[in-house]
Amino acid sequence: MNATVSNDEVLPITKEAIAVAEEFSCAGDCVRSARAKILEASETLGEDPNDHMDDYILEYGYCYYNNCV
Amino acid sequence: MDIVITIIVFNKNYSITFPKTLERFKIKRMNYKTLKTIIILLLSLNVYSQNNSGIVKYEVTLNFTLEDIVAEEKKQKKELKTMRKIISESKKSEVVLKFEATQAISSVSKRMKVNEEKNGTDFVYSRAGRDKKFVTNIILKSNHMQECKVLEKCYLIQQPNLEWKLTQETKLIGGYLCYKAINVSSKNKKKKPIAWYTPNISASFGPKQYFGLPGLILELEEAAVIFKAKEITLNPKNKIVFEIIDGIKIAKEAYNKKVKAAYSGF
Repeated sequence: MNATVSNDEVLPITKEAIAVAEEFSCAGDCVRSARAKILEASETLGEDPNDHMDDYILEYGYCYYNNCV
Repeated sequence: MDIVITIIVFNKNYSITFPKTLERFKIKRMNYKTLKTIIILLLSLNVYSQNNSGIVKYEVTLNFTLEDIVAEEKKQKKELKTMRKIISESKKSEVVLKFEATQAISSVSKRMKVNEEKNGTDFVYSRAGRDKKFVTNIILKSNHMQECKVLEKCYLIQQPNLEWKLTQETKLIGGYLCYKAINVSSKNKKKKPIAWYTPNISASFGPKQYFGLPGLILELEEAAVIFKAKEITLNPKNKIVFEIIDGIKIAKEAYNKKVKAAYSGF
């Protein structure tokens, strides 16, 4: 009896966890994409990528709102 | 004995030597001491009024071409998609420098603001300074960059001291004879910034964080973009209003540490 109750509780949590993982996957792709773009420009132009954190944030935000929302 | 008068203008000493023959002038009702005071006063006013304040508008464009990127692709042995996209989508930007005797503010002009959240990042706008403001104080020999978007508060980040190598290379920009100077203290690994300044305008300012040369910077080449003066207004009729640039003062290294800590997950 107790075991059945426990299973009922676990099931919805698992579903939620999958949804969160999918969300992170899209956001993660945007993190990688934004990072790659900033690093390519910095490497080509000899710049310090740390000086362009605002570019990175904007690039990530643009990617996220166009692909993940 | 000759008389040497030194006037300090924009942190530089200008010496004027009066020959001793001047002492021989005999002016009725005015003794030599009074005459000397008046000359100093007039000279000071004259020098100060020459370039006491001004507004310079710079056009900002990309400083590399598709040929440069193709050459870089051969070096790196990979296609540089981001760089090609930057070239195909590049737009112009405009930076305004306002200055008076001891201070200056440089920022992207209001009418050129870009909505990057809707349209994606604009590379030229980014390198022109985006919504950052650069405040230079000649007396303190300092430049602070105001940044309000990266962390939750506005910060005034102290920019590193600039070391310039002055050269004798010249070119004419808008009728002004300009000299080339190289920013040797830049940490750029591929191309040091190059400034073209004119000693004819004795304001030691330039776009963004660049200052400290014996004249106004009319052109500035960075690895990514180039700033070209397109409009110069000296001593405008209306007094230049400097907005208050607020923020927490911080050294660049300390600021970078804060950013790293805030974005450690990325």
